Amino acid sequence: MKRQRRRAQRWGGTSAARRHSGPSPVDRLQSYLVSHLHTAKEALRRMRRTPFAMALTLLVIAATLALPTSFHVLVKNLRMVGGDLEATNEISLYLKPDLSNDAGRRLAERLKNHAQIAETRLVTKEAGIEQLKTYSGFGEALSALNFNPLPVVIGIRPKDSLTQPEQVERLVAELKALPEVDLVQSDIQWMHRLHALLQVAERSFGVLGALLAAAVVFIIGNTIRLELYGRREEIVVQKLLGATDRFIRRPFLYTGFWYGFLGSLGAWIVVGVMLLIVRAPIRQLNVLYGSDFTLAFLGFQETMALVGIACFLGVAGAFAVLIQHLRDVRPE
Amino acid sequence: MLEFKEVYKRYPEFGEALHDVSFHIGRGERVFLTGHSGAGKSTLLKLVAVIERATRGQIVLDGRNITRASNREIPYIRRKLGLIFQDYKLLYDRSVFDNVALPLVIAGFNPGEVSRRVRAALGKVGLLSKEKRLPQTLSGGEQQRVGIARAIVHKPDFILADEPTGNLDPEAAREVMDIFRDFNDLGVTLLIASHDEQLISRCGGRVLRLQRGSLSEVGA
Repeated sequence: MKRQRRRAQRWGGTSAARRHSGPSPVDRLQSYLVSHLHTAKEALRRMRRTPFAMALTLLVIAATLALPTSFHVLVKNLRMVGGDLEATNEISLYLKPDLSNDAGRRLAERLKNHAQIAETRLVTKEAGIEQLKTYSGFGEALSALNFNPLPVVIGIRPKDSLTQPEQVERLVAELKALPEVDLVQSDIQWMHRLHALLQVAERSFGVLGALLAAAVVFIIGNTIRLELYGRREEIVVQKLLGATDRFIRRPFLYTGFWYGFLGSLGAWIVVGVMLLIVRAPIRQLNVLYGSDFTLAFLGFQETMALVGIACFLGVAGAFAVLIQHLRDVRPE
Repeated sequence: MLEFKEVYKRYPEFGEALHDVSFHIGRGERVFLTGHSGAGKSTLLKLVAVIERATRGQIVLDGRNITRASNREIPYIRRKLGLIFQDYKLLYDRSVFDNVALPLVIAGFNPGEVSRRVRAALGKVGLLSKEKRLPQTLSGGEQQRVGIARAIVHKPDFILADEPTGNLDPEAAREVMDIFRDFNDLGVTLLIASHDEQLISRCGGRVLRLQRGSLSEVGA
């Protein structure tokens, strides 16, 4: 604005007629803000004049934005599942079936003193069969058995100092070598696999996101380009009346902004509906696994980021097109 | 106010449009530019509004050389002028009021000032009662008066009109010319391109004649 004013002054001359006809600085600021507000409203009103075209464009933008957003929500939820499992990163030792509860208890005591083990938890044969009856739904079939086929199980929580996968694997190998142990099951290995997978997912999220952001810029830019050519006459008249490029660009930038803004709201709703749809099956899974996992949606900050990025992409798309094509629109 | 010094304009496609044109227009003058169609009248006006650039020579507007003005300076040069066109160049999806308000909105006046000035300008051309109408609902003469109101609303010192009565019947043309004369009496400088010799002689004023790109002064 300052630079504009300087230019205006340079060409303003010094005649008395000019002096009383130019707006004052306060006026200028006030009318600048008023004109921005007016332009924003006008851009929205103009979009609503062609509701079908607008709805279609918004739908495409919303779908394009919903893709990386839902991917993000998916990764976020998987990460939370991973986090839950990490908190219970137990190594389960299944002892040989002929070993008694007492023998198991003695082994558990011994292992508790192991340098790399924080805690041990004994599941006796009887406790094991109770758990199985409660969670598996095979209660009646198990009651029909006249003996207990389950081994004693010792749950082991390694010390927190065991952060490297190799350290954990070494401990697992050591436990496997114990004469009392039949089978060692560790969630930790597939935890690491999950983490590696999530990392791949996040990388591809970056690439996908960048591609789809470019798509949004392109869609909005194209919409603005059509609008620009539709309003050729108007732009020519504005230029003849002394409008700066900045003034002419403004309504189009607002149009881009609105497309980004409304498109992101659309994407938010699409992702929300998707989560509502999968909520029921997730609840069923929860019942089956006895877990209390709840689906996470977009948080406040993530929503703001989505809206902010979309608005930026909209304005950027409009700006790129205006820089390219506004020069072509000239009084003949 | 306006001075042309040995100005040439050559279009790559059409050849020479203006050939060694020199003249001076003082503040408050009323000047007609006449000549057959294709003689270069429009080209000359376009050079003043920097719609076209001179191939050679200098054009000085209000003490400043506009031949070398940068693209960024062009809008501010145009704001000093009031431009009137044969085809009015109104925006047909906006009301009369909004059309006339456009130069003020572009220059950044506040809304209160805008309505005050727009009403004053519409009053001067006798269209105050039609501010809410769309331009298509007006006659040709009325549309041109909207165009004139738009050209004077920001109080320019210098009005350029390109065949302002070209599309009007004699009655409407006379009205438009009367409005121009009133402004000139108030001290506004006028440069009007027209091939209507009758109207020019009745209106009175200095006459510049263009013939195949060359200028000759006919006299007052």
